[in-house]
Amino acid sequence: MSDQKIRVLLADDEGHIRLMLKTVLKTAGYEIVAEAANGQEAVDLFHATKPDLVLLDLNMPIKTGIEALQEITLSSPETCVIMLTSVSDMQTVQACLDSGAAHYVRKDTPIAEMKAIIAETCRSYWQSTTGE
Amino acid sequence: MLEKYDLKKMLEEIKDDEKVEEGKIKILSQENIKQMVQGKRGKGKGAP
Repeated sequence: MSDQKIRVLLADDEGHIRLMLKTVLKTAGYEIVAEAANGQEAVDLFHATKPDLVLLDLNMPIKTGIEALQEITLSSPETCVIMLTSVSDMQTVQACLDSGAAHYVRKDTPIAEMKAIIAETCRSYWQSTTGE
Repeated sequence: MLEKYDLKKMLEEIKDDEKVEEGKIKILSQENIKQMVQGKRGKGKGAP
């Protein structure tokens, strides 16, 4: 994984958020393999592209982020899924972590901190799933 | 434009909402979330 770029699926129904995340992640060395504008598209593109990392919004049409999260983690527990959302009540955060999310990032988190959280989450998630 | 809104009334409504929701909904900071994630990782260690 260290020699290759981490392949990312971005899922957010707001185009400007996807654009912002794409720019941030590309400059940090990630490869964006797909972008989804709703939960169903996220699940479909996940199966089609098999990314290493999924950044998932919570409130999306057709299928919510938590529904997409559950489908993704069920079929591929080794995929690191990070929720990226403006909703941050305790019940929702807990539900996402219980459903297999590796982390939960508020959208108002400063970019530098967001990048650090994503990098650290990927590192520790894959360490724990590979048993290192 | 702000004159259209009764700010004092809005603030009172916000305070009332907080009273109603007190103890039910806790909005978490990123630091709170980080602690929850770390707690979960700690619990998960050694799990099948």
